[in-house]
Amino acid sequence: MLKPVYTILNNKKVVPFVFLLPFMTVFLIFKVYPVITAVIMSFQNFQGIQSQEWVGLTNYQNVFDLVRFNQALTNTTAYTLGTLLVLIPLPLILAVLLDSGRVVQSTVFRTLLFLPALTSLVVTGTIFRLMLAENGFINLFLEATLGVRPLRWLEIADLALPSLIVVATWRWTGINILYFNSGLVNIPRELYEAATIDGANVFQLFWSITLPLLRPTTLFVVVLSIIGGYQVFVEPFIVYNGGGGPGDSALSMALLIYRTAFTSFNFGTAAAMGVILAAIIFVFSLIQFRFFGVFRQED
Amino acid sequence: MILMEAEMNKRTSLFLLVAILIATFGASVTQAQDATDLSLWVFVDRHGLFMQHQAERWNEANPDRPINLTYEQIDYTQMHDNLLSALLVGIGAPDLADVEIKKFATFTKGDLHFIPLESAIDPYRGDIIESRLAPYTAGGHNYGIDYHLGSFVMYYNTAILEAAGVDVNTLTTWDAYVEAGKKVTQDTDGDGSADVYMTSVETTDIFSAYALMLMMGGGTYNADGEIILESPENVAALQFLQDLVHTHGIARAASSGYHHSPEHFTDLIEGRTASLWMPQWYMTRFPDDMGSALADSAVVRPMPVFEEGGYTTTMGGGTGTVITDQIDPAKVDLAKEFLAFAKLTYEANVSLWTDLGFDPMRTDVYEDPALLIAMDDFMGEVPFTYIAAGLGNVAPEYTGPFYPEIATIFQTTALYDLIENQAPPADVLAAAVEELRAMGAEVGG
Amino acid sequence: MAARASDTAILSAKPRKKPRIIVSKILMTLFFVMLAVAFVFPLYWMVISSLRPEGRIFVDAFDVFPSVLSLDSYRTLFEEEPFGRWMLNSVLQTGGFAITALFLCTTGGYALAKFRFRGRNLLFVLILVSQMIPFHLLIVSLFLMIIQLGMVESYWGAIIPIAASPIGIFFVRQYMLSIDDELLNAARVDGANEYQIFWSIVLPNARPAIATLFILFSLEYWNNLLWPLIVFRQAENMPLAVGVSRLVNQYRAQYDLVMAGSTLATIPIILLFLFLRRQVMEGLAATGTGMK
Repeated sequence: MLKPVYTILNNKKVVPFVFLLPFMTVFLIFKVYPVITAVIMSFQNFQGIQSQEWVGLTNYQNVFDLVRFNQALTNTTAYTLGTLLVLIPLPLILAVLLDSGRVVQSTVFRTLLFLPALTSLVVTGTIFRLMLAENGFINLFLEATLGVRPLRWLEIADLALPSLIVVATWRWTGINILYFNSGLVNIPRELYEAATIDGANVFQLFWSITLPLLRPTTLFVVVLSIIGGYQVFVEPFIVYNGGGGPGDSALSMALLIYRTAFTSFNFGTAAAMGVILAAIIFVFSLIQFRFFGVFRQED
Repeated sequence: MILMEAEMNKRTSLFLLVAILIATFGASVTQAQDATDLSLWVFVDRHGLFMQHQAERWNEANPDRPINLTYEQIDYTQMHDNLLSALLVGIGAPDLADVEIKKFATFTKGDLHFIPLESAIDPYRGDIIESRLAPYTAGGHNYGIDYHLGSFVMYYNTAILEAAGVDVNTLTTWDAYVEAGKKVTQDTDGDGSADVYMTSVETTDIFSAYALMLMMGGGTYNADGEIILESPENVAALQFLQDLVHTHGIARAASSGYHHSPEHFTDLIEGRTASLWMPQWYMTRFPDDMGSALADSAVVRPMPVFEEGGYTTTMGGGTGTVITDQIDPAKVDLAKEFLAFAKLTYEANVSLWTDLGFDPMRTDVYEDPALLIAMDDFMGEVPFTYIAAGLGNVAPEYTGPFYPEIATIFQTTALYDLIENQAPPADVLAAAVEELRAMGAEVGG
Repeated sequence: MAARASDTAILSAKPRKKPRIIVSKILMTLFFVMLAVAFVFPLYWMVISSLRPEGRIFVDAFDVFPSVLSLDSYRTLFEEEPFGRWMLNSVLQTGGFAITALFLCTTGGYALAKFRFRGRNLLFVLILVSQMIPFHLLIVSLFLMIIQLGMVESYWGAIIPIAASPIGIFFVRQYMLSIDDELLNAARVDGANEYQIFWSIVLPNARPAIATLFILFSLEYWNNLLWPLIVFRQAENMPLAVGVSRLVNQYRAQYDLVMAGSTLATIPIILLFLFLRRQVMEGLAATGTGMK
């Protein structure tokens, strides 16, 4: 009796599915199924397991009528763009500098700059919540060194985005340096040597060799930043005590979804927002993939 | 059974109660008095301890029907989210739960999963300030009982007032308060901006604004359940709040926007703010969050009034304990009776003050010697005298289905625009109403 | 695919030395010293804040070298909160999560890398795309599910639903592509069955990837807040991140305790990292180049 079972399990057609089974079971139950439920919920007036009614596109229409949705979408987009503008060029340049051979003990610096990535977002948020206070360290430092009058980082709407970008820069620069570094070490050094012999200067080397060859890494970092940026939740949640910051200037999409579900008890609308958010992330990532030409390869 | 009961008039339900009492009594005698387990979720540990203490009292008074109360303390946000989800799914909720006033209405949207408490509350109705039940009432049924009245009082730093030549006992009207504020508010280091302010107002929480709105006769909802945000009283109240900051220049936005921020506590400790109005329960913050640093200068006084004969105070914040519909039906009546016993009896109301430091809902305990005690944290005065003195004409607070959303709008944009951007109050309120309409609220006018 | 090139290789890639280079080296290094100080400072600040006497965090914000230190916050943390329990929970749950996720990702990644079957590429893309779905879209359904499955308050409830990691399976697949097919075929010829091959050839060959992933998964769970926050209500079951986060809420912000808790939560991870620095950094870097 055991023999046939054994033979089936060792059949080349069956084996991959046996190996896939554990992952796929969990994946289907805890990822695919909830996504399907959420999508269904976005077309419903969901008032509990026992009471749901089909409302078609009403939830989606409602979403775009909400002032807060537009505000959250703008905030989140601005945050994502802001983090991209800082967290791509800055780590890239730092990685190149660290890789240039002109920094003594570059590994030590890579390690030190990476340390923030080890802290949890809650810890990160709390540290900056305290350091950005009106009489907090950052203001006192700016006053002592540059003579800047204390800024109300946590209380003024215009400073919410800069505050959050400061937090993101601290948390993510080190890890992005590592990503870029891994791309840099894979660039054949002969290319640089040849170009140098041809008389190219440092900037030309950077522009015509380093940047193009770092494309895959850059793609990876950009996509990660978009996914992370659009899903930002814990940082504003902690820095602004569970709220959306002054005048809701730090209200992110994820915070709004959370608020819509658990304060307004409107799971249908919350789900619709989630679907829209997923679509935005998906489209942006797709554009990136196209832009960087990912679909041309398949092993 | 629940619905039926709700439709019955008070007298029949009292009868029913007695009948059930006898039934349970009889049953428990034959069942060898096993303690009935009751589970409770709280988000403030002290509430849980208080209820456990009340359970002990209950067991002494009712040895034939003992209960075994266990509580879990869960973080504020998480507890409400978990409760909501558990009620939605139909399993996983506790027998009893604390629901904060701003969160209550969220639970009334869709199917309501709480048990009406009228039959248990009725015997005490005449003894309590009944409007305290309003925030936990929906469709004519009372679903929750609060821990306190939460009346607003004024907290003063007498050291600062005296230095400016102001006698704290003269500040009985808002006019007097504003005039005194102009003397108190000072630029001590001469850099062009004030370093000591008469008061601070919240821009990311509701207490400063709601108190004035309610005391002027406005608020979020009226007794008929209509949203009254754009009422002239509210416009006047917000105008007054804005004037305190910008016209009179005697108030500042609270550090970090609210009166529970550590920066704000530091402002109070360091003497940068001379007074503030908050509910009575804010008294516990003086030892808990300020380490009794102001014990030699802080006092409690009644709120100033806008006009003779007007409201003397109102209520702020609150937490109602509810019974969920996931309780074993056989335990419902015991749970209701215990809840009323724990919150509404004379002894319970005394312990609300002695155990929790909260102003009780029953007016007949106000003369009790246990309440009239001197407190080291408030210059050795007897704060309760002043709390009681303010309760002459308490403005009621009504709530409704969009109460949580209104609070969110105030906490996020409305007060920020009013104070930081100096937006006209009428515009701020109109914007709030417009947003509520987009969310499906019906607002007249 | 891995970043195995060392610093010396890059150094030699640079143009020949010029005299100016010494000066620029000093300046550059100085620049990075300042940068590193700025990046490490918030962590230092966290530690000294946790050591300030009660109520001094805001008052002494600018006092970078405090003369008075106190362990009060730590004492309170252990006396008033089940901090030891949180530590233990974190270690156990983190270990459980890392092992579970590793099991799922190595088996699944192997199938995706080394077998051809109908729908393989589609499946792979589907898994990757799922990484883009915002977690908040799933929270409500997931929460309803774990209640129905009776997984609230259980370690499994915290671990299983997030264990099928798209990034993890992607990482394993990329690594296993580099394992030589000849190796596997030779074993098949020798009569080994598919599972013996996986156990005794594939896994040992993927050891570097597994080690890296183990650390990454540990880091992920150790610092995770959202999901365990929903699964656990009772303080004694919570991991560190959740326990510490509940010390601050709208009406009570015990920042001194949070700073102490954060310090204790961060130091083990930093030590572990310094211990396994090479592994983590190369592993992380490898995920960056994985997407060819």
